[in-house]
Amino acid sequence: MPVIALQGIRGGVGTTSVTAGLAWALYALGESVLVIDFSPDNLLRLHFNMPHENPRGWARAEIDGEGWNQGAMQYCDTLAFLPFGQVTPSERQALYSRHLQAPAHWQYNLAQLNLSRRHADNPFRWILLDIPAGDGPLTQQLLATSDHAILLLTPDANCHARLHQQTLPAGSHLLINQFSPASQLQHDLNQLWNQTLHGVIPVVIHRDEAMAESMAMKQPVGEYRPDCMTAEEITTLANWCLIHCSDAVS
Amino acid sequence: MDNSLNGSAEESFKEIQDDVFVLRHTFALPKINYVDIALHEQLPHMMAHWPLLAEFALSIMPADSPASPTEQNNKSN
Repeated sequence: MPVIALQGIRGGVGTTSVTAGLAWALYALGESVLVIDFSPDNLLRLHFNMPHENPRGWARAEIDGEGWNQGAMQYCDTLAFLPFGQVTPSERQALYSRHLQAPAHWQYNLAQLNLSRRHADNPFRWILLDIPAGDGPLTQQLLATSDHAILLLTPDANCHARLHQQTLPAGSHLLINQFSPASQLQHDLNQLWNQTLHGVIPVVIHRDEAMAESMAMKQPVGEYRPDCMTAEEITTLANWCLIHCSDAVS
Repeated sequence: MDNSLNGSAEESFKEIQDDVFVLRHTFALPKINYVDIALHEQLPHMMAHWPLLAEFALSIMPADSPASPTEQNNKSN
């Protein structure tokens, strides 16, 4: 059961949309996927047609004293998502305090999932984690628990500066997203990063209006526009994951 | 970055869990190797055009590596 964490080097690099797209692409390739949103923005669910006013999610369930997995939603037969859930700022602070007190909480939760998979109670082979930018206690906990980390970057000056000053998850794969080849700066940065950085995934995801539209359509991009460039690139990314990240399958 | 992940260390089991967690969770700056492409044809043009890229490249290159043309073009020099 490979656990892949996806995180942006900063906000706004398209992590949530790529995570939803990757979950769909793996599903379309015949895999079973559970994707979990760890961002309090709680937006991943909008790619999976969930009504905005629905408060359901793992954080909501934990605060209400229910099991964290009670908030999971089935999207297709082998594709499910677990929203963050709607919580108030004070509830969120209380939740983060709890995570500080129990740094192995999600390690335990995901280990339980893996265990239940062995007993055929859990049908999911792949677990994708949509992690917000930054290095808060929950993020550190999740990165330590994941088998693979994919860090998303947009080829701009902001991300380039961050690469030189920001600590990143050790051993993470780097994924270039929102690439606009018509931009000279993006062209140069893409070339520079590909030749100087270790761990760059050999799949570049181009900036594509279909990706922006997919959230407005409340679908993953591969479902909304299966033939668009971004959907094909994310399918290539899914195949890359099948080749390079399947080692943790139990 | 806050690496103080010890939390409550009352139970030995939890201490072991914490230690494993901290060990597994090692952050690092990304490996950036400008030296490998210092002679690359397009790098000098790139560095001459974008001062920010040149600044970071110079901060990483060792002193005896070929200098970037940006050094000559930098108005502040």
